[in-house]
Amino acid sequence: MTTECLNSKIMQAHKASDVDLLGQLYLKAGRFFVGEGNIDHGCFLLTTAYVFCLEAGLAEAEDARAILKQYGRED
Amino acid sequence: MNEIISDVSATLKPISQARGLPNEHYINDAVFEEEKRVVLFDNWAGIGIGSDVPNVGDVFPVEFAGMPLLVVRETEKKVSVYQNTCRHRGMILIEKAGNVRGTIRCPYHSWCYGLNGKLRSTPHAGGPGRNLDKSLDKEKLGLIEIKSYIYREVIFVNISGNAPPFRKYASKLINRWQEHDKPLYHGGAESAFPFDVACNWKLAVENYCESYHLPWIHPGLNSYSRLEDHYHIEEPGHFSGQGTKVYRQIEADNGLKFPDFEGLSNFWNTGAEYVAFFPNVLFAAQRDHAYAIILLPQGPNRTIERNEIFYSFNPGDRPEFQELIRENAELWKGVLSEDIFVIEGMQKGRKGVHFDGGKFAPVMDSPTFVFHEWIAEKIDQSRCSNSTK
Repeated sequence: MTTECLNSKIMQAHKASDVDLLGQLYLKAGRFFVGEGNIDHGCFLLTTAYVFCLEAGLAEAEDARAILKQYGRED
Repeated sequence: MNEIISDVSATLKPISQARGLPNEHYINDAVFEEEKRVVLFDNWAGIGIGSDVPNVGDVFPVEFAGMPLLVVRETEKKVSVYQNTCRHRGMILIEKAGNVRGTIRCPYHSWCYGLNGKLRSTPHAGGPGRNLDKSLDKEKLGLIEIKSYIYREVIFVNISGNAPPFRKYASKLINRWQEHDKPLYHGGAESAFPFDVACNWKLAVENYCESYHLPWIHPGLNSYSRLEDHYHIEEPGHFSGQGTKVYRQIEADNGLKFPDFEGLSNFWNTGAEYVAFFPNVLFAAQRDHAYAIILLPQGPNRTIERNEIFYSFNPGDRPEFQELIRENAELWKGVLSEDIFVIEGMQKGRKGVHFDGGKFAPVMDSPTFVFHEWIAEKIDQSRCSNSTK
């Protein structure tokens, strides 16, 4: 999935206030940027993912937190 | 020097010489604020019922006398109450009842709290994508918990934290109604009917705890529950009310009656008691159902009354009682709404500048006097302690 495509899906999920999907999409986006070596932007997106996953009660919250913790951004 | 905003000295005299609380206690904003602190926040006040939050993760915001509270079903067996205010910028956290699926997220900067009130995350607090800061100690920044306790399905809170533990505070009522210390099950949507009344909350208490008005305001009772069948209940400093010796169960056309609470003594075959538990909860104990009326003050001149009926069984398990539960709710709604013109009328009457608080009829008004005296003592103690500081 291209970043443009991901961005468009994120915007649609925001419009629909679909918290579960937002958590999953931001997690995907965060992982992508971290993988590209853009740690700051990746952690920014993972933080958003973490919040939405917490709100949605998704187990993926722990995945986002683990990456953030790895970079000293969360405890 | 503090300005004297009301004089409660006449209410502290013996009943034969006493006068009721002066008008200011019903119409004055400054006295309302004083009573809010001294009477409502310093004691154990009712704010809701356990079934407001039936499922884990359910949240129920309550504005109690202006104080934003959040009731949370933390676990199946534990209900917690927090100040409904984010520890960051003071934003209201939850404005609508619902289920938060595990996390209370502030809608402003998304600080996240667990159902246990603990601060879980402070997103971007240390810069974009950086959620930590040396000065942010999550252990110290959880939601402010308000002391709470559930008794007879009513959620009580002590907002100031200054009152004795609930079971000590309520020990006299708990002991009196020990036989009724049984699980209560809410009757469902139709068994909850709020009234929005144009009066000070205390007038609803005062009317509830005496039987003197029954023949005039509830004439339907005269045929089977006469004034002489009632007795006073007085526990100064704690509660007051009335009892009847001729309680009659509601019965369907086919003879169906609600099952009794288990293990009650013979007294309750025809006995029932109606108690104003100070400050703001009105309880009924009867053989086959109970109710609670929670008074939520909205200001000196307005009160929301939550009327909630409970049974000895889970209505969801006994569909045969559905119609009788509906009829019973209609019956109580009718009886309790007969009091509205009285409490609103007493509120109007307190605009009379020459009204002196009222002369008590010592024999019939003593439960009401017990309540007035309790309020006056709380006010007097607070003012004395402030003047000596």
